[in-house]
Amino acid sequence: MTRVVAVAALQVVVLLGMAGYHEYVQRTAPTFRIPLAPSDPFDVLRGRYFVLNPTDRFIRGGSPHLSQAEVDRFLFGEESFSGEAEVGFCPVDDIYRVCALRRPGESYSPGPATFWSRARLDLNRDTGFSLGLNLRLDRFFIPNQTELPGPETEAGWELEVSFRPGRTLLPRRLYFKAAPVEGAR
Amino acid sequence: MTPELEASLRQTSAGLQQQKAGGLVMKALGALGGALLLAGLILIIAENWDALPRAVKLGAWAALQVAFLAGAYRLGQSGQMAVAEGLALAGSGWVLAGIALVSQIYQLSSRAPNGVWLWLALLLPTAWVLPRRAVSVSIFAALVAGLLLEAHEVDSWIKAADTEGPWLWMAVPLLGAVLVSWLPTRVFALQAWTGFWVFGVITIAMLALGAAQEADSSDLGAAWWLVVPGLLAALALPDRCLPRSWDATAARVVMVAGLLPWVVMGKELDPGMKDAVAVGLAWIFQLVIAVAVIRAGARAGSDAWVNIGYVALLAGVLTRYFDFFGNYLEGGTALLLTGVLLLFILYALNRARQRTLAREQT
Repeated sequence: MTRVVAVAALQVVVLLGMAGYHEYVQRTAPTFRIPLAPSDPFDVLRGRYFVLNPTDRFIRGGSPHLSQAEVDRFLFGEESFSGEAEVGFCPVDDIYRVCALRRPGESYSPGPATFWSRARLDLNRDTGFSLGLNLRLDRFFIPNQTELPGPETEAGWELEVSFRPGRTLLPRRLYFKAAPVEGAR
Repeated sequence: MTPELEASLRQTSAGLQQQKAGGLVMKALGALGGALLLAGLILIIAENWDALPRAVKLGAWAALQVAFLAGAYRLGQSGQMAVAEGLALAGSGWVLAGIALVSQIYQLSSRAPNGVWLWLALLLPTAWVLPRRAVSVSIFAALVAGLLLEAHEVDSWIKAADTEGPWLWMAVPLLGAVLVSWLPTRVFALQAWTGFWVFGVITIAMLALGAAQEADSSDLGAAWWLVVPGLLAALALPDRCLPRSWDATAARVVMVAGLLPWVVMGKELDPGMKDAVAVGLAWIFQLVIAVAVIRAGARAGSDAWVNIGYVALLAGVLTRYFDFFGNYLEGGTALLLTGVLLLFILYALNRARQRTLAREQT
């Protein structure tokens, strides 16, 4: 019996440890908001959730936030880049947009980029440039009882994220038109 | 065997038969009870998500997990095997529910296989302290689900390019069954299920290939790292992954004959002699593996495998009939001929099945 209880305790400690770590991050990590273009599907296994679709998951040349010069500096003469890197977020009004890129271990840090997060990049020189960005912000669970303040197709959805230096962002809370969505956190 | 001796043996073994049937019903009810308990708890949490604070959800999960495992152990010790199995099943599933709970509370959306690997890692030690079949079955489920999800992940080192052929769907359960057979509690029913699955996958794949005479690309890419160990392990150790009713020869015939059309075909079905041969092999070997299973079932005294084999044989004959004559069948004559043929095949196969079962009983 002792060994069975020990195994059960191990399972409990591992999962509650995970929960404790994320609770700590949510309570202590700096936060900021990024814009979304979500969709709101439902399936039997996952229930109801937002597919987050961060607005900056695709950026093309001519973006007002990520300049051609910044992309050229990152590519350093290469035609493309595919892999893990860090993306910098700059404040634009109340939210943050992707404005800088750097390779893992690079110490470069331009002035306006306040937060640097890990992400997967697929970057090509294609009519200026085309950047596909996987920030690993895929889904946001929404309890069935939660009433959303607007349809997901309407502009104004944002996600508050917890920032961990050098690591991926963690979703924290949904916002709609700068106001937090009650029940969805 | 004289009629008197047969009657005497039947009378003395009647109790054993009843006991076996009763045990099976109790196991099934235990599993059903455990599964319903698990599903009910998950639904209660989902329905009251807003009303239950995070700490209550997590605390209740932890307390129930300890209770499930301790209860399964204690009841197993006191001889309540079916209830113990039910609680062990609930406890194994509750670990996965706990991972989903933490992910849901903190909005974690990592790679799907990572959650399954964590489930497997947390379940594994249970197999050595709680000797219940439900734990081994859950570990098998976690292993197979993890490997299949991993083969579909873009960033996985065993990413499959295309999964149209039967390779992955056969090799992964076989690999899982071989690995799980070394756990302290071995589950022979799992091997029977794996055999049924493998036989079903091969039969359906060959019937479809033979009938459609076309196939999508089955380029496995990096998933060969998964398929080769799975098939080699199954060919070397069929007694650890396939039904006990199949002898080693029958098991190897089913696997080799089942995959040979795809070996000949290569990645894609192209017009040409080589791929015409592959389709021909699918026609022939679908029947060969059905006969191999009937023969193995008859030798081992397994009515179930004899019947399954005859069903596959019937499906093969009917599919070929429509393949060859489908274009010529029109109007009432077509229906008449098909009906007569179907009844004749049914008669002939049932006669053969009855003879096989009669030989098996003597």
